[in-house]
Amino acid sequence: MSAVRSRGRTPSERLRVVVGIVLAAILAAVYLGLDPTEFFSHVRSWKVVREFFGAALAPTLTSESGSGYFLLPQIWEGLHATVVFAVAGMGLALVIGTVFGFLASSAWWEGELVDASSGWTDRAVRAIGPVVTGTVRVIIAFLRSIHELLWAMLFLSAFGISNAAAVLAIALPYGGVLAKIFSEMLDEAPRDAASLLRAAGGGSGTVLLVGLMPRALPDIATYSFYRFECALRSSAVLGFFGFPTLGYYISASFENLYYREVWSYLYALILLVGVVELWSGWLRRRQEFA
Amino acid sequence: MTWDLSVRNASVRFGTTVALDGVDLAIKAGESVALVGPSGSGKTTLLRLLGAVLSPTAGSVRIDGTDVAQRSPRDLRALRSRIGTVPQDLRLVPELRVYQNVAAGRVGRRSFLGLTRDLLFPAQATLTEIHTLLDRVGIEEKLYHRVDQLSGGQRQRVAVARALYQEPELLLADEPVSSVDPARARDALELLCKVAAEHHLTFVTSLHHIDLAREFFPRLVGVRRGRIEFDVRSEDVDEGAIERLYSLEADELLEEGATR
Repeated sequence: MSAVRSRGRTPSERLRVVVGIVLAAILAAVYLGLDPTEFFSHVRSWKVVREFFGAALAPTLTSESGSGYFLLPQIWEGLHATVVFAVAGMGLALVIGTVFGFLASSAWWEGELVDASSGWTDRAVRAIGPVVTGTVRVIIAFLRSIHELLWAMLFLSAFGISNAAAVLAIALPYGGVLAKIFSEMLDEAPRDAASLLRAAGGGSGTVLLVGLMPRALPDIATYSFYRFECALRSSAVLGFFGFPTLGYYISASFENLYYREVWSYLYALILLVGVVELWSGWLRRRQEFA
Repeated sequence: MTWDLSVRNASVRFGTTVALDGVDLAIKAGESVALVGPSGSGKTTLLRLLGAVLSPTAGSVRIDGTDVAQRSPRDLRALRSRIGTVPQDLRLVPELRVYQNVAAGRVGRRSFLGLTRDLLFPAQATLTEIHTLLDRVGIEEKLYHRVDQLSGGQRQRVAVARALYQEPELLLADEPVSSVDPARARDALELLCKVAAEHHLTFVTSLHHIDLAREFFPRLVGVRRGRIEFDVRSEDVDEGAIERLYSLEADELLEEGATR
């Protein structure tokens, strides 16, 4: 009876958790002095609000500066840079995530897959495993607890506006997040096939490769696509620091109050994210039904 | 050159639970044996001893004439690489394709890179060899199918092909009829017995279905509460022995109740 209870919550405990979450949200709102009835009275200029959202219905492909030049080349360049920085950052993040994710998981040294009685390599792996995993977990916690915009500021002051600064600003925090998620997915993947292959004489490395990795891979791929979508948005926002991505053009148009231009760039970004979503969805379906 | 097996006075304890209690069993090379008995009797533990994945707490297990405990780690891996197992839950990798699951059977004898190649860019010779095995188990058209799209019976055939791809000397199966629907139980056993005979393998399976065991196996070993109850040719097994093997469950329950 006690074994059953310790595994789950009773209905009253569950209720307490829900009430606790709601109370925390209300307390935070009260502390910040949020008052829904006063929210709109703080709006400084309804005219600006109207203009900005009105422009959403009338995006433009010619500049609002009156010079009459065509916006498409700028949109294209902004999109192009956004994608290139996101791809480079995400590529490096995948390397960091894969290597650190594997090391941060306990699958490669813990449990029956590594048999302490079978040779010195396995004994060594068992001995150093916890140390390596602990160290790597601290590193990835550090990487992901600093936001990409803070990393960008850091690298900007170190390198100035350079492509490497933007790529690293995306790659480090994203690598940290990927590593954390990958390691959890590896640790949660079912180990039945791996333990059978172990019983068929497989070494621990080979068994992890064949028996465990494929079980975590579909989830890892799905999550990586989601993070790529996030990387596109981060890459666009990095433009506000002067990198040539969509954010650069958006901030320039914003400063000139060219809201219709701003919306053109925003729609381009939405379109880009949509295309990536369609692409990843197509890949997932192909994988499932092939 | 298939292997003979000998278990001498072997006991296995998990904490305070005694799973096997002084078991003696000798199986000749090329012999087919069914371990019968109620669930929880120790059949699976005995199979794990024979598969060299579990060491006895006391006593010894000799496979191919050598005590398993005396073997070096390298030697033990080489031994395990020639023991094909079809476990009750099959233990396939559902995300991988059939040929990849079968290729994984040779994990004990392939290098890391060699196996990576077998999975991603298999050589024509490898595919041909796997296709031949699939043909033997009757699912040659499923070579490139993902395992999670196969039926239970087809999956079991993949597991059998994987065991055969190990080029085993010893074939072990744990309750092979429980992973297929009852109508296919006979097919599953027919297949296992056929491949064991064709390859002249030593073949040991656990099976709680006594009628099927009598029909398919020349020798039955009755296991109950960690001990060997009888070890007879299947035409010699008498109804009384079978009744004792299974009916004693009742007083076990009583005993369990009394110790609580």
